[in-house]
Amino acid sequence: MKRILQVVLFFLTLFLIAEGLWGSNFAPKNLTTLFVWVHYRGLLVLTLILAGNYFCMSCPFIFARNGFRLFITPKKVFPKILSNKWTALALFISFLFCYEYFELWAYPRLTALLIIAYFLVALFIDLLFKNASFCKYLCPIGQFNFIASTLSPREVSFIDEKICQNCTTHECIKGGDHKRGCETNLFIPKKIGNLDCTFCLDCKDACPHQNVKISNVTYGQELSMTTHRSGLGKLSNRTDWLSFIGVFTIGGLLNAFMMIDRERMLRDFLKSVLFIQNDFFITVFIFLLALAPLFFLIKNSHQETRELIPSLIPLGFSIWFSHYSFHLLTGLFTFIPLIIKDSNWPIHLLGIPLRVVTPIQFGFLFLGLVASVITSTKITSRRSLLIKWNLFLAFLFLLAVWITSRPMEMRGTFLGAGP
Amino acid sequence: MKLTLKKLSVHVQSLNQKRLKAIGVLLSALIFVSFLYTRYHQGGPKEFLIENDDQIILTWQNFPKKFPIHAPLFLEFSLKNVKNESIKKAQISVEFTMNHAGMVPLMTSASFDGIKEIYQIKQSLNMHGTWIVILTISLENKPISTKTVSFTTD
Repeated sequence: MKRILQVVLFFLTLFLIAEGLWGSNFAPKNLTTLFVWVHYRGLLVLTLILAGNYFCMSCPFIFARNGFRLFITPKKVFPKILSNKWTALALFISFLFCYEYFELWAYPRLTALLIIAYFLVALFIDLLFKNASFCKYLCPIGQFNFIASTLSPREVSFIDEKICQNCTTHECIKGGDHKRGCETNLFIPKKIGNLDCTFCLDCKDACPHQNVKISNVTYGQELSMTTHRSGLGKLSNRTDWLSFIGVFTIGGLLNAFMMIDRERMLRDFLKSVLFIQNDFFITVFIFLLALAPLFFLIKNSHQETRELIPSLIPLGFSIWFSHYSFHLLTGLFTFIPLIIKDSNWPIHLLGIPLRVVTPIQFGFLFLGLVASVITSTKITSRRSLLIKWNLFLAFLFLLAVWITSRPMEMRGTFLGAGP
Repeated sequence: MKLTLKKLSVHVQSLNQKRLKAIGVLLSALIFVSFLYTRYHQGGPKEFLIENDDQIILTWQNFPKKFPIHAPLFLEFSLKNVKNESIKKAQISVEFTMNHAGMVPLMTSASFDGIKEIYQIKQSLNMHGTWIVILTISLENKPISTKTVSFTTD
């Protein structure tokens, strides 16, 4: 199944590049902007919550990389100084920033160039460095998927623990018989949850005992585990991961906030207060305002608070889900008139009405809050800390509700025609 | 030793098969992209919002300075040909859209006021942002022409 999904997505990606470069330059009439910014993102969060990290499994970039690696064998080891999540975090923030600043949702050509750049960087890194260096240390989408997949109902795990205990060859991580072991350095007997797992199933293929499978797990159960994780260590000791979780959550709010009318008001306010008219610096300032305190708080928080940070994930994910499901559902069938010309598809059937979509958005936000609160109570029993933390969660939830309830602004950017 | 050599030979064979498959996929990808390139370049460039007709002159008679949302918006315009003669009873479909993927447009049509000889559009906007209005003008025995205008809500 993995190979079929990869081939399908690889050719679909090629098509999207072609459509983006050579198709209509008007975003709503171009399948690249439509599929990438509406359908892909919506289906991604839906798949993550309903099934698992299947989008990483079917990654077209890794499919291309694997093909090239049959001819070019990487020799170098990824630099130790970069073997953490900081570079990926910087890329993730840059990605969010570029999305806002360059208005990627409105430019098919830019979107196509972004896909090409992704292909080139993934190929360059993974043909230069051994293992899945791009996936583990650089890919911003991958890290998003890793964090979100901690809520997935499936994970890759062993079938029988005794077989793993008696195993001395450890093909699942080392590889063997010309098969790859885990390239993100996860040792199946000690693997906890989905963080850093690309669902590639290389471990399953490599295991001579057929002792690896995709198993069902309870939603978000790994988030309350504070023990050592294979390939990661203790999550509360990983400031890079904790910062990523923070940015994942606040970034979700920021990404949604940038779509409402108040963003424009904040922008105008900042321009008047700071005496800066340049949009680049204003966007940088908004990002700094939202994200900089986060790093400061995480760096200076004590151990017990750090252990609570993963409990942000359900709420953070619900914010992303609420935002992406809005675009997916309200524009669900907008691709039909683009594929079938003169289809006369009724306008009111292009998407699902807001009266249906809005309750889904709020309902999911509420579920996210509940899941976050439950997770935090599982992590710590210190009452005072728990009260403070849950108040913080409630504040983020209310912020998300406020953003979701504000009038949408599609931020159309066409400037070419006037009366 | 023999066993190792046998294993190695099996490996080389399987590697060659894999390489052949990879070359096959790469060639298929190249053919696919070439096919797409040819398809996309048939029938000229597909740039959006190129106004394809300078035989029809559109003049805005009423184009407000402020655009509130969830309130009726009235736009009025006249159409004339190059001889400065008024064009009457053209079929004009009007699409209010935004430059955002997944945007569901608002569709309406312009009605003709025979006394003032102007066309009128009435529409309530449902969202903040920069709107693009695309007028598709159909006249008997003439090719369809498009006119566009954009504005930003308050």
